[in-house]
Amino acid sequence: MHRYDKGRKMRQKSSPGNSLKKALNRKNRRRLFAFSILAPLSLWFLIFMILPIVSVLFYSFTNANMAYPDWKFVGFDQYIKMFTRDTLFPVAVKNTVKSALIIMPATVVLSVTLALGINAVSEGYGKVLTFVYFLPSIISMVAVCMVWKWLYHQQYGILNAVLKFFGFPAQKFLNSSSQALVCLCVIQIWVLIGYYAVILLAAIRGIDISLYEAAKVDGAGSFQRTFRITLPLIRQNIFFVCVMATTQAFMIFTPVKVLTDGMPGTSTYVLMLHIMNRGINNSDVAYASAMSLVLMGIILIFSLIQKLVVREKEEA
Amino acid sequence: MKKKFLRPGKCIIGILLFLGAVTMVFPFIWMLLSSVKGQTELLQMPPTFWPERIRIENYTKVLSAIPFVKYFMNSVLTALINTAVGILTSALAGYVFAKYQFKGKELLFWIMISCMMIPYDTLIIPLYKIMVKMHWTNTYLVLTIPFFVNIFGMFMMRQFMESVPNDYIEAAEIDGCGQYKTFFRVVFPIVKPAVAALCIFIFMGSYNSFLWPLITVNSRDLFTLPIGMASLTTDRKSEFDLLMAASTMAVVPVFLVFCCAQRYFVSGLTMGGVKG
Repeated sequence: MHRYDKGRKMRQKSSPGNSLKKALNRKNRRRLFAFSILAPLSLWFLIFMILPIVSVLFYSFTNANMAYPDWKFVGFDQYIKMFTRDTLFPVAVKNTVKSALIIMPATVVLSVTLALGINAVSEGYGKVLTFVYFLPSIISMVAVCMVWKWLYHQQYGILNAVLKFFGFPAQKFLNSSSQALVCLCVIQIWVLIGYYAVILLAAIRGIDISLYEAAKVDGAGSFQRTFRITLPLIRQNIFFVCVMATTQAFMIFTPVKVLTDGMPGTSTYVLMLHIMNRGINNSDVAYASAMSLVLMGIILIFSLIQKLVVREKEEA
Repeated sequence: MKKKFLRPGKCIIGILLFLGAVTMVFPFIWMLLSSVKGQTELLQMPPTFWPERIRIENYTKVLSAIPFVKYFMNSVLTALINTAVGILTSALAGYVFAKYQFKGKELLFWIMISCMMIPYDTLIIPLYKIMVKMHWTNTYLVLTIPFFVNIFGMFMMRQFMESVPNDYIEAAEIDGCGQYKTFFRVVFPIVKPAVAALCIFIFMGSYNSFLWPLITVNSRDLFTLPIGMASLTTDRKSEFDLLMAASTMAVVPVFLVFCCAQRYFVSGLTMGGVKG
């Protein structure tokens, strides 16, 4: 029974004959209210969450294709196909892992540095910086990609103009199979660092200031204070950023789709693009589901590892 | 207050941060400048920084190339609907989970929270198939209903609802408020600051969503702005005056709102931790 039920009861004491009926009504009313909210919610949840989870599992063991009405169970065939017959799958995995290996460390290092930097400068300047660095996070990724496409332009882009000005050879950027993926990662990093820095900055600002005062009294310099107090104390948040950046990197899609569509060659062909091409363009739902599950597995494993690492450090 | 002195170390940090800030803003400034340059001026090497003369006609060109206003309205309207409904479901569900006792509550909540762990993009293929089966593709339904419930928002609202004093709810009920009235008149106003942040979170998530509308909508009448812009980049590959004007038009409204409500943007977007 809830605490605020008491008030109602006390008031009802004045009319003892009605009290039971009223209490029941109230209980029922509360029940009805909770039900009226949870019922549609659960329905939505069933259709848009549980059903997709079940069907992604289910389809991955069938040969369902949206172009044909018939389907049958094929066991692990889709998974076998993925790892043996599909030549694009290893390429897509390689590119995805590569972009994750670029995006994750760069984003984490840069955003931590940025957060520490903003924390070190005066409040007013810090506010301006936060505003500016946060800007890319609010802009639609498609618009961001259009702008970067123009910056990266091989003949007329400003980046090549600057390179030429300083006497460097012009680069092919998105048109080169060795640079395109890195260029896409740069966009993603550029978008993410300010965003993560704000998260980390909030954590840094939450640290008890007396710790720094004490360290100062003990003669710790600002470097020591940063590495011995700030960073260890926001470790949890840094790992949180790690997990988010890894997830983001593994699911990189928008810049790839808008800017290169996997080209040149297959140099920017990432897993999400492969899933969408197979599942939507070729309507091969079964195979795309199997790949989605693998991707989900990779992401969950990574998040789990990172979570375990944090916990271990906590206990150590 | 700690007094801050200008030390060389601090100066270097300040300058480095300034340079970083320039790389953050420069693409936008370059976009803005390029959007008012003519086709020939854009293809000059070395490029000019200031435009020879400001060509507003690039913007009118965008309006004739794509139904920009229509795409924009599609985006804004669906985002508004999704935000309104999303806020309502999050707040109501959060309220029920925080203040009501019923059988299976813990289990239900636990299931919802564990679903939050799953990267939703990996469920898009089966979800697409479900939408096709329900004949929802190419309708407004597909752009709205899947966004109606926000698990993260629900989770967050529950935290805030727990801080609402039970006495308030009690008092409202004693005064004869019904359950809904209690919620809207008493509880909802108390959690308003959290709602503001959640508004931004849901609105931006819907407004900027790309992958979902890309696969579920292919009639141009239903295109949202990101999809319309992406189609423009493939249709008019090399007309950068047009592309830059279009992206300026897409960026400026968001930027203006961001300037007014920066605080809510920052808290709203960072609480979720996912930006696509």
